[in-house]
Amino acid sequence: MGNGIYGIAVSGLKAAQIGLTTTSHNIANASTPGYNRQVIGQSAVEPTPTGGGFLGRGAQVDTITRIYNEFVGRQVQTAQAQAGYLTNLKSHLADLDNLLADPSAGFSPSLQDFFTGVQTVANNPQDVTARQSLLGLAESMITKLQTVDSRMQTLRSDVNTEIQATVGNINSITGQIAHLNDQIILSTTVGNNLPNDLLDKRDHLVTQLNQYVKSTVIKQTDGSYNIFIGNGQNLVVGNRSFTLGAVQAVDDPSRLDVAYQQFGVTAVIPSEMITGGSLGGVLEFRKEVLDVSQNSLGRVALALAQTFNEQHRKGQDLNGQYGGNFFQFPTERISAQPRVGGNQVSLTAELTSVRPFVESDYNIALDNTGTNYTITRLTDGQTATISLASGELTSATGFNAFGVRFKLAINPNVNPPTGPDLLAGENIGISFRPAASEVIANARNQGNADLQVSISDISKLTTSDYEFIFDGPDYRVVRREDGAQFNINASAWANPPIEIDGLSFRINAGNMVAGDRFTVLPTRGFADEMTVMIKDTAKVAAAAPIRTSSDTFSIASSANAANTGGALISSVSASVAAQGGVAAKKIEILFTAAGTFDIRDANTGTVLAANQAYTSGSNISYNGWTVQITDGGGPPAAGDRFVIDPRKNTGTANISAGVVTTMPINTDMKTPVAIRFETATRFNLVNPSTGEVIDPATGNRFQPTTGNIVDRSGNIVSGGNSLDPATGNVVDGGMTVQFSSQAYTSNGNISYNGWTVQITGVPAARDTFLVEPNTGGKADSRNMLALGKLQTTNILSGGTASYQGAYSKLVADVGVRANQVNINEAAQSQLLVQSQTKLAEASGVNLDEEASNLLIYQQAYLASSRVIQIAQKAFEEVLNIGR
Amino acid sequence: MRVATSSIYNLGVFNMNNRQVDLFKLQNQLSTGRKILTPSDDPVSSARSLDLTQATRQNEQYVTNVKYANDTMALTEANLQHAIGVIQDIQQLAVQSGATTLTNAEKRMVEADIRGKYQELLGLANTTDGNGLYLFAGFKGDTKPFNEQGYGNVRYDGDQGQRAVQVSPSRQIPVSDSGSDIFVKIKNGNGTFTTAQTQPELPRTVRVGDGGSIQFSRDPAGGFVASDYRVDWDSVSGNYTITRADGATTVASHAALVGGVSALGMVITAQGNQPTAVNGTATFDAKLQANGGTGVVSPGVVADPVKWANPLNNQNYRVQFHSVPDPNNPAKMLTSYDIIDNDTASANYNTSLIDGWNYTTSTASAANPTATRTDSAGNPNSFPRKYTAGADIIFSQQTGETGALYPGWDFGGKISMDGVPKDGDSFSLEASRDYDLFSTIGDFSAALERYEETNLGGATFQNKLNTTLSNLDNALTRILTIQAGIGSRQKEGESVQSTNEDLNVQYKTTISKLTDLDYAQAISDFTQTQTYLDAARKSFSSIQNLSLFQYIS
Repeated sequence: MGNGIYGIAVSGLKAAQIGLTTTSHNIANASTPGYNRQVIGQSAVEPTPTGGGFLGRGAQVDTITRIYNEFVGRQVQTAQAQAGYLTNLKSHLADLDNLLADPSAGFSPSLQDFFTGVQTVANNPQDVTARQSLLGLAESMITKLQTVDSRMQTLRSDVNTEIQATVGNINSITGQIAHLNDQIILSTTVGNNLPNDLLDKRDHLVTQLNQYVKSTVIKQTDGSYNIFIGNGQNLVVGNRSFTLGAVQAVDDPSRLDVAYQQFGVTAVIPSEMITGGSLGGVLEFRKEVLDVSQNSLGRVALALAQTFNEQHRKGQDLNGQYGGNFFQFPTERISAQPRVGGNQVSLTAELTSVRPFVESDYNIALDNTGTNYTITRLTDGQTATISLASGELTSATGFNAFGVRFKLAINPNVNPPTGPDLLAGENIGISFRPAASEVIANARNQGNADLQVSISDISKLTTSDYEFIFDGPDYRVVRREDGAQFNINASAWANPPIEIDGLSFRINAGNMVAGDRFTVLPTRGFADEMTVMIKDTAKVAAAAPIRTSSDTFSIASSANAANTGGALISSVSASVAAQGGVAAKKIEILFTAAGTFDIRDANTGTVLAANQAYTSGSNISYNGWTVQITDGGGPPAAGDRFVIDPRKNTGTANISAGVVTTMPINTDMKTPVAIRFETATRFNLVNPSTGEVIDPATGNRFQPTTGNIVDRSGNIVSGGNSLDPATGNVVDGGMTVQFSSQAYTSNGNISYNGWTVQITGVPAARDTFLVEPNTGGKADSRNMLALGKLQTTNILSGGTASYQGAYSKLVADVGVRANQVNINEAAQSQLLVQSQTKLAEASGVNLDEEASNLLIYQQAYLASSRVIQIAQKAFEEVLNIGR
Repeated sequence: MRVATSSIYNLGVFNMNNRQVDLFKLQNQLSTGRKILTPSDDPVSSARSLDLTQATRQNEQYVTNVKYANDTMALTEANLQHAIGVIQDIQQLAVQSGATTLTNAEKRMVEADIRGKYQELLGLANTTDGNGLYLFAGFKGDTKPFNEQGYGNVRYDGDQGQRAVQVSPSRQIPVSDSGSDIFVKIKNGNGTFTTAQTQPELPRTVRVGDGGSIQFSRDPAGGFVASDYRVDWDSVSGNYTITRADGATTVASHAALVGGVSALGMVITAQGNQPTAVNGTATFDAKLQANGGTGVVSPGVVADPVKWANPLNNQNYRVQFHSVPDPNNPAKMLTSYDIIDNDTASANYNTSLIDGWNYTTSTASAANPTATRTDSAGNPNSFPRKYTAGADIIFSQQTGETGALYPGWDFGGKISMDGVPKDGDSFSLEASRDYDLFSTIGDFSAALERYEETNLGGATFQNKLNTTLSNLDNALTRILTIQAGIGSRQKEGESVQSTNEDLNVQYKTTISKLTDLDYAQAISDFTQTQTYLDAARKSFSSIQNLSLFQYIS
């Protein structure tokens, strides 16, 4: 009996002790992360059957279990993955956001300062200080661009560092989980009870893993966890863990990718497969934000540099030379132009210098007789000459001049092939386009091809990266941003240029093997290589190369009908002259004797130059014009008179200032050309010094003094022609049109030699307009004004964004992104806290509760102790009875 | 439900942390005054404010540009104003010189005055601006635009470029005007056509061989015959022989000619040395028909420009006069005139517009076979129209006229004639052409120099004076037009300026609205957040004080 009471009391004591221990364990771990409170499962011991019924045998503790809701636990893990992703994305975006934040220190103010400098030069084109200041402002603008770009580059290397660190953390966590799996399996198999604290630790590690990368947990029947990430990569299987690695990307060595390593094989996990967690955040930041932002910044820099250069090359500097490149940046190494000139030959120019920078455009011209080629460097007018007969230009090695190898070749795609030489009198411009910032050959490429990617159209440029793939025999370009594919079949490839999204592709050397790939980063980091090319203020091209004049003289000359001598006026040079250099007076040349003449004012008779000696055919110059009088049918007689009448326009038409429309510059640009109205509605282009009428289509000229039509080389094409005064057409003896005059439309474009002008208003027959080189135009700032207009011209994104607009868009894009992520992150943290609270609601330790449990178990313990005491007393009572 | 003790701490910290982030941001906003600290705060506004900042900066540049434009135009304007004054002075001198009471010497004094004014104008035309660039040279800023080749013969070496300044995104205001626009592109005559007396035949200058020049001028005593002349030098005799086409001669030594000789109705004066050659010959032409009468022609008017633009009108005519004694009253002259095509390039050269008479071949036209210029006795007959002093000479077919060159012709123009033309006198009518101001002044100087105090000289001079006055008037109109253009561009500049300044204010307001902090709101937010944080802290500290353990002893 007594034994029973003792037994029961001891069992109660034991149970209370376990209760106290568990409560103490709970209290001790109240602040342990991942700890779930434990409770004891207590029950009555199986009773002893007696005659009087079942007699109780005390209490026993069956289990110590943890309070853990696996479903809520999963919720926390998922929320953790999302929060980790958003928090990390937010923190990276904040870096970029802050970088672009300051309105007074960013790129915008320096861009605006630069264009203020342009305007200042436009107002004072001859002012050296204004020009110097422009160059300084350009330097500081580039520095600003480079600062922003290099900080983006720093963010990029930070991403690599972070990927490496995160992968290390993940490997450590998965290793621990695998180890815990092992322990848990072992412990569980010993008895039916579960090792609560090990389970807690493992669940906590899973939550930690989710902070780095979103993972999927599958619980096995043996209690172990199998863990997967991405599209099924096992990180943990039973007691084994598999490591992740950070490896250099094959298509871009500067980029680290996450790779999965299993059984000695390393496979890159595409970044879009890795979602959630801080790793997902950083990968998404790089792909969706940093790449686009840095490309976008590079695009602004490229657009600015290239469009500014193009306009600058249309100008004329203080030395009277064509403008060169204002900004320096890497250009394509080979400028190739298939189908050049009338013969449609193929022309290539290859830079032989180590660094691909060019200052100038070039021009290659074959002279009128087809004897010599002249290569001109436009910025300084330097020339190199090579004879056609030498064949050097058309040889395989080409002709080297100015650090450029020029080569002409037959174009096989023209049917029938012609060339390889240009036609006599032709000239072709050559310019080098910007090169794509980076073209990276894939590390696994089998071929040795050198792919050249040039920027052919700024307005079509995107902010995406591209991949160029040779599938053999066809080619393919993939736009990474949206995966769009552009197929180039072999025959299209053979017929260049190949242009996609403003990029031009060309293989400079070597061969491709099927499967070869190239990564093309068109604009990323462009600013990095940019500098100001112009150092000499005189080389800032503020003026335009041509000027026009409606205030022209068409100089008519006539011999007096009453002349008795046989002399005739054989030529008038400067048959058309602008106002500049010619005085308006109608002049009479009066022979006072056969060998002498006076130059007189035809209106007043005043002798302006007396007793000039006459030699047949020699020049008589006065007031800016020159005429020749020759003994046609005999010498002039005393009293013979010749009248030189510089006639001004009588119509009311005006000519526009003229713009350069063809790039690269045509070296004939500065050849003076007169636009002469033969009737009020039809005009011809005329050589202003010889009066020859030009056929713009062929370059043939009609010589009014001889009636011949001659070609560029001066060979007579036909004779006996004349100018039909009714139509202005050049006609032969049978009135058949040899070449026709052009119809006049007010404000219509008139283009020749690379310039375009418009004439407006009502011209009269014989009115003449002159297009001539802008010599001495030091006060001219037309090109600076045109450069200034670039600031507000919508150039980018298919002509929808200015430089500033594109930069603002970059800022706005980053801002919008950061803004969204900030909002989502705030919501997600709230959600995480909520789910954590929910989990803790059941599983967390409440100290008050534990305190009350302590009291309960303490009292149970005391009570059981009391029971023993009572049992002892009862036993003593029994013993005392015997005394 | 139950709450885990750790949740109380975690949540408390989480919430207090959030409040602190809010406070930190508000404090940052308050201390910078910026509503947008990073673009993410308000991406749209921050991008817009970047764009607007560029617009503002550009606008400020435009404001500077307009000031620059106005300064440049003001300089041009001042110079033009000066030029107008000078031209008006010349006009006054010209009118003054027209007074018949002025003697030859007095006219020469006026001429000296005009030469002074001419130099002043030339100086103005070559003005430089503050940067040392020629104001009226177009683009050729450092090329002297007006270069004098000789008095009255000035060459323009500038170009037609108009310098411009960007004053708004879409507008470039031209700030300069080329010298050719101002001083050269001036139509002479009445702007459509110009009338003139046919040129005087003298003076003429010739040289024989290497000898000094010999000047022939009209002898006021008369006796001059328009003709070709020949000068022969004979070194043996040391004499010049001057022979008129009709055979009349005069002989004089070089020395005599140096002293001046009156012969053949001319005053002949030699300069320098006699020719070294043995023999030599020179000829000169003094047969241009000089008017002998006192006819003075007006500049004329075009009443109907549409009719004047008739393609048949070649705008090159001469009005020729014919004067015979009235058979009934020999003391009275009967004067008539004809309008004749004077364009040597025309198929109708020398043909009467009125009745189709061809003066070259002396034949009537098929259309009007009865036209004639002689009477039955073979004497010269009257021309088709009767002349009345002061009446209009109308360029259209008049009633009663037959056989016109262009039937029913009407060119819509007329000139008027005054004075008494002599037989053979003629006046030309040509399309107006650009005639530079310096030539106009030079021509007038020459007219003053050659003024002869006879009726005849008077009429010649009067015709010259008329031409000069209308040319000067055209020059004045030209400069006033240019000035008006500058004025309107200055006005435009001012209006663009005020628009730019308004825009600046507007941009700045918008930028301020977009980016500047509303302090009242921010301070109120700050206080509110502070209160929340305070409450969170207080409640947190009181909650964490509550623990059962405190009561267990």
